Amino acid sequence: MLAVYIALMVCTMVPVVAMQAGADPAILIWLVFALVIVKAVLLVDHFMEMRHAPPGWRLAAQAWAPVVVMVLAGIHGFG
Amino acid sequence: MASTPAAHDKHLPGDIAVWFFIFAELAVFGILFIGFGVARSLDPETFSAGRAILHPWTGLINTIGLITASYLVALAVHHLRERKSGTTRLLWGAIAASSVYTFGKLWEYGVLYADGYNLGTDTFFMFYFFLTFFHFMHVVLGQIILVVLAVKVKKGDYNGDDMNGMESGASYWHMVDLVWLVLFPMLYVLA
Repeated sequence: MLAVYIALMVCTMVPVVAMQAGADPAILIWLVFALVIVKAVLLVDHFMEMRHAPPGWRLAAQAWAPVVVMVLAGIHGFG
Repeated sequence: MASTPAAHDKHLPGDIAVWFFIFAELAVFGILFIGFGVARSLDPETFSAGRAILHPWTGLINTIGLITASYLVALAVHHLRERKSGTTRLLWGAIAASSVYTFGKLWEYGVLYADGYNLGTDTFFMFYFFLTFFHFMHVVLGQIILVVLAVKVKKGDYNGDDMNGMESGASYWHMVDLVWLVLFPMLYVLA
């Protein structure tokens, strides 16, 4: 559980630090999209304990963030 | 050896009605986020200028507060299930950690209002205030739920025999955190 907490913290800080360091926005945006999905899956599986849930419920809970992020990425890509 | 329910059996944490409520909430937030993305694609300059006014470190501190609260709530669930002491302390710790978010958000609203930014400033700030305040209200409700859980555990109403109430409250709290994990970078980094 502590390892998940540390991973979530690192994934949260990386984009902000990268932005402050002047990272290329084009790279930053895809980094953020990827990290949001990683964080959401970690939170759902470990903190929400959905890894012990029936597969359909687990999939539904896990899918929310990737679906929203993919739609946002699509809008960004085509915008 | 103490058995841990659901260690191997498939088990939905919390009440099924709470999960329908959680999915309804996630659907609403998802639609609002997509609306934000569409509006941003139509007027990227306004959104970029708006984002530059926000303080990313405030958003980061808020995020750390919410993730820490989620961690403490998850630990509290484990402690109660395994009948360890300290569940109440963990829940109060989660409430304290989440208060970093609530006070941080109120401070941020105050600073922005003092600088003349509000719902009517432009499209970015309309989305910013609406989305963050909508989420803020969910955080406050989550904190009330955590207080109720802490009181019930302290009184012995929740003692690990039946985890349904504790898991339901915890699942709601994690949903609030999950929404913020998308909302924070969307407003503070991507816009």
